[in-house]
Amino acid sequence: MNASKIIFAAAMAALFLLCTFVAYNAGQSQRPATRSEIAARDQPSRPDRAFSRNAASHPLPASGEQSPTAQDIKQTPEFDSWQPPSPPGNIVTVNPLRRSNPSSAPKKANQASSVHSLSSNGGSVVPSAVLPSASSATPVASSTALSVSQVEEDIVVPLGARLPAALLDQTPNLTPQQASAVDAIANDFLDDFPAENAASADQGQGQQEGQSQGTISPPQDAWDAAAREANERYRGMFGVEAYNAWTSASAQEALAEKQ
Amino acid sequence: MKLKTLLLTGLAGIALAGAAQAQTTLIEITGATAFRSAAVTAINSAFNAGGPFAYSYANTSSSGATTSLTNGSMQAWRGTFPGIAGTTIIRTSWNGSVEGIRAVAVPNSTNNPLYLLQSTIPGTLTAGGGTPATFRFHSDPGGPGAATNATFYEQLESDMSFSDVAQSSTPVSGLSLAGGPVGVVVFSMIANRTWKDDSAGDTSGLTNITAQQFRSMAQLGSVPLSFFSGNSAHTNRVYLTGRNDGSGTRTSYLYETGVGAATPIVQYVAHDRSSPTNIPIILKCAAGGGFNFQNVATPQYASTVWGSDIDGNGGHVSSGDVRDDLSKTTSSTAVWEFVDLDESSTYTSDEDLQVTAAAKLYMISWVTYNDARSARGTGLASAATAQVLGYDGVILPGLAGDSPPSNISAADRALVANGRYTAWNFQQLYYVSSRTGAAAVFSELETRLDNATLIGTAGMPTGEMLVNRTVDGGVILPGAP
Repeated sequence: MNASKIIFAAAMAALFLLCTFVAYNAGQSQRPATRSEIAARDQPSRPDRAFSRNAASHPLPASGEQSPTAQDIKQTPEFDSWQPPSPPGNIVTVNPLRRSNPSSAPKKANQASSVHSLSSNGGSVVPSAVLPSASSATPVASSTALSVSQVEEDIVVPLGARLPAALLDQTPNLTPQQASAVDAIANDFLDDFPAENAASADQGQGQQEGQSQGTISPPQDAWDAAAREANERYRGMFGVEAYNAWTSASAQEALAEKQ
Repeated sequence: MKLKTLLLTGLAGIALAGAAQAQTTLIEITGATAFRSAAVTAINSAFNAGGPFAYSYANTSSSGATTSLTNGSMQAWRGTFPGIAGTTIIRTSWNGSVEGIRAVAVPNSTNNPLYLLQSTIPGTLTAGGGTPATFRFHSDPGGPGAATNATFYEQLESDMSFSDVAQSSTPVSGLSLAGGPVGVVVFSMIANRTWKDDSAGDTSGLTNITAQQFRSMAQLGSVPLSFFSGNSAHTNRVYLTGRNDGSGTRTSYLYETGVGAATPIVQYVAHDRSSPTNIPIILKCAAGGGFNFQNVATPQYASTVWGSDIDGNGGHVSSGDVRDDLSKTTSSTAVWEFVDLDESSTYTSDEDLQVTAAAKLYMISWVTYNDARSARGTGLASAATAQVLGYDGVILPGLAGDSPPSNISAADRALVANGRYTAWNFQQLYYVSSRTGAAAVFSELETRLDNATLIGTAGMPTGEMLVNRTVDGGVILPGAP
């Protein structure tokens, strides 16, 4: 009798643990990923490409200073000393550069050429032409827009590629709902792109090794496709004026990078 | 022995609970007012296919207008629904696309809509549904109607939502939703009755609006008619009217025209809606919703979804009200605004002031094909009570011509299906996949709505589309969805 009770209790305990595990996993699968989770997921999935750079070896820019450009990174000894198995095509990959205190290191939107940091300041961008009191929707420096809630991520950007407007948008005074929408577009882009980027990077690499086949898309195609959808969503939500402003900034930046 | 008995008892209990649960499945559906006539017809036909059923509906709208089954704000059915064992009760409450997504994804006491009580559905199931029970809905939340409403309506979480726009076009996150497109909703720009009445005069030949012109109106609230005619002598102003930001129709026009759905705009609504034929006063939508001319609070006019509840940014809660306003004249109409005279940071009912004396003005909006047809009337074009406008140079000839049919005309459908006319979106049906019966209801309605006759003027079947778009208002690409 006692044995039966023990068996029953054990079975119930096992069932409880199983249910808890299932429920936890269900919750995990339904809950949108936070940026930190995306960042963790996007940590170098290819250790061989974990370019030997880290925050300690490359001091973060102080307040008001520019972030490193793609060219800066290419010229670092670590980059130069790293020998990839084969040329990485036109992709510049940068390791996460984390700021322990983001608010102390503001970053201008138009400096995000190769290392791009997302910001979520919980404020809001309102198209100024509509609201007399609203600020301009043109690209502005974010030095005063950062808050303690800011989270930054670093993403892989093909050399010369244009960043989606949502990744550049640092217009102040967004409502929480507007900020959430910008974040959602950015997160969806990051959700989509890393896997495509990794695959395309492989393909791009393969393309260079076997260009005669001519069947493999270069990595920038994947970037452009993901960016196009992100930009369409951004334009729909924030209008053509804000979209034009941020994409112009992005294009100028990409052009400068190419030059 | 005892363990065996215990296990058997437990299993029996589970089986009984499961059986009890299978007996009645409850589904609550909310969302797009624009597609409700098609949705209600599809649900009704599904119950009809399942056997005898009974139903009820609210026969007045939130503004007090008399409504039918298919354009009412709330309905309820009991019967057998195809694909679901036992009895199914489906209740619907149409509160707008974005509001609907918010209600399903973020259920709480603020977002949950009102539904008819189960007890409002007649007890006897009849082939064809029999005679429905109808109930008045009182729109005075602070008045005696509130107590009466409580005997017929209850606030509930929602399982499913129709939407003119994708969830990704809204700021709503929360629960992950399943589902997808179940149709295409077609829109049209439309000018009001006075514009139509002046078609032999100042508005002669003005049958189109561009996205750029619309953006000017959205930003400023009004522009002179010369913006459309090119004649500087045309100084009468054209005002924008429309919905609050819980509306998928509004989200659609702000996406498509490039204004931006999250962008605050300036709109006007009829301040005094008491006349069935004319509008003596229009009002710049007030922060918080303001009050109507009869001093009744109208919080439903406020735009709250994007966190921009500011003057001008509100709008009608119902597409029917937009439609009604457009079919009235504005040949002598004053413009009023709310002004915070006592600097209390809130508006009181007596803080509405006239800012422009009565004069002829015009109103323009973007409504569904169905509402445009109702606003202009179903007779000859020459007798229309509103002016159907083309959008970016393309007009729907069936809608603008004589006697628009009860289904979207073949010529109009061809312009949409081939990508020439761009004022359309996919109609989405979202559901919480963990809710019992929701997937079956989605599947059944998806099938039934792929039918031009059933959809009527609410839209088009997805199966007719030869073009596609991945984002609301986004680039239209060749290829079926």
